[in-house]
Amino acid sequence: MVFSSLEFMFLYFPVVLLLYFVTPLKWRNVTLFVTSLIFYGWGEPLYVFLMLATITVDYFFGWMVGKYRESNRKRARAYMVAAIVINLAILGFFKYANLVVDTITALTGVTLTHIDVPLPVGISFYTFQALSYVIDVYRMDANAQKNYTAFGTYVTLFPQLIAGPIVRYKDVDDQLRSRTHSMERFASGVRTLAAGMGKKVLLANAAGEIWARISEAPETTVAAAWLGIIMYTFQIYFDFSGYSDMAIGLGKMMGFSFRENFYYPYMANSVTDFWRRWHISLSTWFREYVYIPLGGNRKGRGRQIFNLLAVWFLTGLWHGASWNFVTWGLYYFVLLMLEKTFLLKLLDKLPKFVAHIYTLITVVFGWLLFVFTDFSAGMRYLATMFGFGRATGFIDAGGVFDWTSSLILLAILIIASTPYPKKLLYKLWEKYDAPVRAVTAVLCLAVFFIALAYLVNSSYNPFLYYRF
Amino acid sequence: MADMKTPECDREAARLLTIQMGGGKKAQFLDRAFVILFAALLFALAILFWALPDRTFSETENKDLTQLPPFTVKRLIDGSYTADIAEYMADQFPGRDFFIRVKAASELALGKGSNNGVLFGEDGTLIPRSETVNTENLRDNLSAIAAFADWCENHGVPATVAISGRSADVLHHTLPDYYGSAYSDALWTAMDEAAADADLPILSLRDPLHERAKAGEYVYYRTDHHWTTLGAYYGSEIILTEMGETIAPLASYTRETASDAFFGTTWSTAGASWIAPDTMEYFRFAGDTDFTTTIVDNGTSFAGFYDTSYLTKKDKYSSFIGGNNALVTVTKNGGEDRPTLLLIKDSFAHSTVPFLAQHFDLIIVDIRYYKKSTAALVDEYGVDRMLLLYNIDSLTSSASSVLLRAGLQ
Repeated sequence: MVFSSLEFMFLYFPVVLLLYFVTPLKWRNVTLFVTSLIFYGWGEPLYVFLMLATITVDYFFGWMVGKYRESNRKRARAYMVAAIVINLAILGFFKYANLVVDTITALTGVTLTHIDVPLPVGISFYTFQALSYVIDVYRMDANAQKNYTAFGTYVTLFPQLIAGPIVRYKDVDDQLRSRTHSMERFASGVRTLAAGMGKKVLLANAAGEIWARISEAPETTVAAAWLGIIMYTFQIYFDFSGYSDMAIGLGKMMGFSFRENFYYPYMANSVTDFWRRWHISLSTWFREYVYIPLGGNRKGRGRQIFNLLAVWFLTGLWHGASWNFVTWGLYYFVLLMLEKTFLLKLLDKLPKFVAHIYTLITVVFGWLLFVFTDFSAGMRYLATMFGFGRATGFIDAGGVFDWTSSLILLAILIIASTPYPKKLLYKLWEKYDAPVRAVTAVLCLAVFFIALAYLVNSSYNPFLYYRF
Repeated sequence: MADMKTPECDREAARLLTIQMGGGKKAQFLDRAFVILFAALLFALAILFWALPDRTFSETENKDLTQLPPFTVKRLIDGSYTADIAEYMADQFPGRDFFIRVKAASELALGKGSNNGVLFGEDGTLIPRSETVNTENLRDNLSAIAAFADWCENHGVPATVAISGRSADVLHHTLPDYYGSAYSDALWTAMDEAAADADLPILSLRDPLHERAKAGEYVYYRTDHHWTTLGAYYGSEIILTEMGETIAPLASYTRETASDAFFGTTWSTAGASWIAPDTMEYFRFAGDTDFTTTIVDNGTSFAGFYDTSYLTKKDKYSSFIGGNNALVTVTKNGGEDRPTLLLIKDSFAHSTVPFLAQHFDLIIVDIRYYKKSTAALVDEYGVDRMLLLYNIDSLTSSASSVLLRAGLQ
């Protein structure tokens, strides 16, 4: 189930809210655990058992790691490694087996059969959460969770289950034991949920619809191709950050506080800066559980470069079982290395807007590698942007129509990508609390209302993370 | 990435939460009101959804609405049950028609100029957006039609092939100037080329009708993809002239308003339910009830050309000869010996029947539904002439005309 759907908003969520708040405080994790399993099993009911198996394995290994981490470090480490291997094996089987099959076929010509199982939704997100738990316990950053439902709640918690943010165990350890619920917190959660819903349903879908039409047309023009990839650039940001906001908002309503996942990535002045702002929970995870354990920058220049290479290879691969994602990851590895060696210093000397434009262009071309799983299709689109490929000319009537009919949307997308609206809101809110509160409330309800209209008559409402 | 700073975003989120949590009594009241309104929206719609009776058909959208899916464990496990629930919710959502309207209005407010793939032209003209040309279908269809026309000619049955335009071909002057007829021209050029390759002469009804529309005549519906009865009259005039017949002058008809509340198919797709309806006319003439329309499919027949029961339904255009059927005959009562015309058609031809029937007995076949050999009808009914009247959309959207090859020796 996805948040931006009628069955979530008007079937699942009202029931969950009701159950959650009538459940006595002590038992609320049980309610959350059970309802989250239903959320998970909605599309693929049988995978509930896979989920329960994952939880049980990590619960057990986490317990063992906790038991031995002081008395017998070696043994604790063995349990941790076993947990990591099992989790990655499950992820590997369901997500990457067919990539291995295809790659072997392509390289050797030996034809192997595909493993015909659907990808469990959100597996990359919850596997990383489960891993963070066992590792945090081993590192003494958190205690083992002896309460099965509390641990199950952490892994399955429906707000962040299928599209993140990836919550590290140590960040929510306390919240699983006790959280504060209040009307103000709930109201704040509703506001965040509204913001996320608006981003996903009103902005991302609108941009995505234009991208889908242009990218699927057998012929197009240079101007339309540029509009298309610009629209995709906005779609992926508002879709993803919209999901994160909805998750954070839903969490807040139930007393959780998750960390932010996006911070105006398209305001970045370098690729390095971009990755501090984009999908922060994923970069943080890779830094803490891959880069630093590999030695980070503490083992010399050569080793650092290797560590970064590993991180970016894996970051790419995490986004989907297809080599284009790896290419996309390595593209950023190269850019980040260039920035580390000289480019950052150069960018510092240049006017800010030059650095900003450089970053935007780099990111936009990155999305070309990301969005086309078929590399040659991506290259053909790139060629089209420069007058080759599928381009029939610079612009045609349909292109003019697409551009003129997108102008207002584009303006909204650009403004919504900057921090200025929010900054203004903060300022006004600090000055005039009551009026701003009232106006925000009306705006949020209006967003829900209009988003609802778009969900009822949805021509285009994709879930982009089914590959993750 | 090792030197990542303390996340600024988390500090900002904390700051916002502090502001939001820090209000006084008034703030508490406002927050409470906000939460109650939000919960009311959520629960009220959820309850209404289950409480309200389900509709089976949407008049506004002209489509069957999904009903509550049957529950079986098998369907739950393979995921089809929950997928159907999603569709069921969207189709039966309380106020669905209203929300569709809200969405259409928002799209137009954003300056998009279209909704659900329908372009909004001047004066409430709705035109389906179509910018691609399916050359393959065009070629397959036209070569089959050419083969059939040749076969007719070889059997002593003169053949005429007439193609009418879509709204986009005839009403494009209501669209922005730069948009104009570019895509329409591309499609008709492609058709002309394909027809030339198939050695098939085509009577094009696009430009004459466009000229009339541009001059302000009401020849195509604004909310439907068909031509009006006036448009059908002009189309028939061109066709009959080509066949060496003379159509009765326009002034000889009594124009009767059949319905002034005709909301067409494009209107249903566009979701803009504030757009005013079209007027549908019947062109009556003395003795026009002395004809019998027989729907051979089910053996029913009625006097004249109109099944007026459709006028109370959404699909009013189907009142012309009773809508889409595989095989229909229209004959004049009284046994007068008249030539027989085999009319191979799509729904555009329905409103031309009152004009054609004054000159011929009609054998009307829709090969999308007629599963037997069309060629066999020529001998069966002693056909004297053949007319294929299609909208150009029928040549590109599918390759159904290849069925015409069935039974050609």
